Amino acid sequence: MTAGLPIQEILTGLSIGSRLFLVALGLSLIFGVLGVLNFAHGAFYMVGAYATASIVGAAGGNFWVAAVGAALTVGLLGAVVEFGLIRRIYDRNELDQLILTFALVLIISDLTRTIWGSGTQTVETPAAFAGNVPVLGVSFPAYRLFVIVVAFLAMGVFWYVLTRTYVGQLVRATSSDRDMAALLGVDVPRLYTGVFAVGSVLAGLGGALTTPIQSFTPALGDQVIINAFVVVVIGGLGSFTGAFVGAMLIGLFQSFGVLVATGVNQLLPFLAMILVLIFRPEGLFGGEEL
Amino acid sequence: MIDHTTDETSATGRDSTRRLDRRTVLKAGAAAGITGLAGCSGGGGGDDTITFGAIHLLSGFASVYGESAQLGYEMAREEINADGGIDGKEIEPLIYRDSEGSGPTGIEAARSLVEEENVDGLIGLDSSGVAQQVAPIAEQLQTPFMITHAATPFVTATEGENAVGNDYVFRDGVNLSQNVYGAAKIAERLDGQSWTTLGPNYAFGTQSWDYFKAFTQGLGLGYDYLEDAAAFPELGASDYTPQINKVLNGEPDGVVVSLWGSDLVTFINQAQDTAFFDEVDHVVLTLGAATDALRPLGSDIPDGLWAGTRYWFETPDTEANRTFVEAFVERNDQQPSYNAHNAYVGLYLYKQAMEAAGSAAADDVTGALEGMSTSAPIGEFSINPESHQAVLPAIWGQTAYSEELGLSRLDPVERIDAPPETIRSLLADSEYPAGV
Repeated sequence: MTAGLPIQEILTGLSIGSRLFLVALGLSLIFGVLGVLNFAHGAFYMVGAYATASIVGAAGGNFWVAAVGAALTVGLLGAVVEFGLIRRIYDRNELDQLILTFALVLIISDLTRTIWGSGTQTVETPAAFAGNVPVLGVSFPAYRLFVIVVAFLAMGVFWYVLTRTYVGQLVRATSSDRDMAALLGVDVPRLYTGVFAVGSVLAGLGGALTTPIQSFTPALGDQVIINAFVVVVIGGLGSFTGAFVGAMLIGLFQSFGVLVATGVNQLLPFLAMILVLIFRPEGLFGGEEL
Repeated sequence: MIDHTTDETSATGRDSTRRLDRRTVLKAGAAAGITGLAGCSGGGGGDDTITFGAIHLLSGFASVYGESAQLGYEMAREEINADGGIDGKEIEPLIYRDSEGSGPTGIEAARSLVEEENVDGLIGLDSSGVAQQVAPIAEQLQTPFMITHAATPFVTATEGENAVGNDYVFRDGVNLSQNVYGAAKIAERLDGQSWTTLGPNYAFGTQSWDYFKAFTQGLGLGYDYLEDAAAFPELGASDYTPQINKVLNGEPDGVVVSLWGSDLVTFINQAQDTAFFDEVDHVVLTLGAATDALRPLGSDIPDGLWAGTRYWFETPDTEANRTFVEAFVERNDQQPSYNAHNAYVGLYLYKQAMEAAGSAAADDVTGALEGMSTSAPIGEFSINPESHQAVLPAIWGQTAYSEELGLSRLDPVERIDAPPETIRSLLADSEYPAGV
């Protein structure tokens, strides 16, 4: 093994983890505050990717306009879904939520196929990050480095907003006791719509940022949602520190697993999930307040 | 099993009555100890139409393959029906079933198509893994199965461990051993000494590597095979960079890449980012020249890579092929993929066999298919009566981006003859069946 290989795999693992983190963060946020396990989160991610491809085409190839546009589009989609559908079943049992969000997966996937077809889609890497840069003695794609930075930034922003701002206080208050928050004058329905929309923006952003790295088809959402669930189970549903640590762990498992033997990259995340479920069922950072 | 494509099937009252009657007949037949269930369907007398059931990937990350096959079937069906059908019998709209890339689902689909829909013939299959499980079922059901895409040699081999070839299974496209024989012949001209692979972690990927090793050993090339650098990522993986790092770490001279479809597109883009093509002298893409992958890649795939395929729309340069391609482009606004071509040819083979046999009964059709010669857009070929595999050349070339088409062409493109005797003798010392 050459000296550069472990560093290559660490950086690769972090970039995989960073892509996952953006999805898992939204999933975890929505569960933490609303108590809804949103199966359609992967489908939102996919819509983000397709919206990016379409807007890039329409915006003369400007990736940044497309990424922001896609994130906002998915945020709007999330707000509509929460306001129109999910809001109606908060009082029902969790199975109904699963069925509803799963139905959304099927509807959104088939609509995507109808609109964009099932062929493979690609998006060019934005010119500013097209090349490779030297990092720790190895050559690494600049765009992947950018995605890692975005993930760390997102982590920082969420930590700041949730712990240091008034909005963050409202979110945390509602998350820990919805009825008390409502009695104290928090507009809970509006806050729920807002949080669901923000979670969806993260899914859309994750989808947008992934397009220069991987080609995609209408199956994109199914591929990502399973890993996102593994991340939040390991990290602890509802914990954003957990989502971060979980995502980076999975990314590193996937990159280093490849060096061990074929299939180990897929095995390790699930093995870790099983161990966490047995020895710490609430997740590594579960049980923490948001 | 839910029929995803009810619009493709005619659910008229007459049909359902007929179906009921058939079922009763089948039950009676079974009770009487008659084993030839499929014998009751098919040319069971009095039918004035022919029905085919097609099993493809119609959902998930590779559903584009099922869809491009549908384009081929629909075009062939319309042409055949416009020209008087099969012996005067019209071909009904095909009944499509989704294999979902799963063996048990494929088996269920085959059973349902034969036992409930009474199809005269089965056709399709995209995945080698699924094909290996479904092939024995065709024999159980005693219904001919024309495989159009799945390439594993094990379904057209009857001897050796895991060989599942049988009287009812045929294949009309280039299979893995023919394709990889082409790869070995290409490698023979290159100056690479150490080789490794990057391919999907299932039958197709592992067999592509195994056969490459067997052929290059058979050719006496004396290569070093870097097993420690070989990487088999899962199907539909989103990031191949960990595997690319592993392969590059082995510093191979040449790499056999058997990824396909959107996996191949993702891989090519990520390989560009990691300077893979600069560091590896010889990249051989066994399924690189598939239009379904080349179209989304556009100019992102480097020129000069060796890419194989099972049909390339620019070869052979014959009247028949040009006519087919023009008509296909006219209908679908895209060049025919190998999958569309093989689906198209599959229906014509059934037509030719049924007309030659003067019957659509399973055993008559399989008898006629054995050793049958035909003329198709890909050229003239015959079906080996022993293996039931189409005797076809491997098609290889080097990528060269074409501004005009918006995708890479193969330039130059070659048809590498892959005679069954040659393939068998090269594999004689290996444990792998030739399947040709």
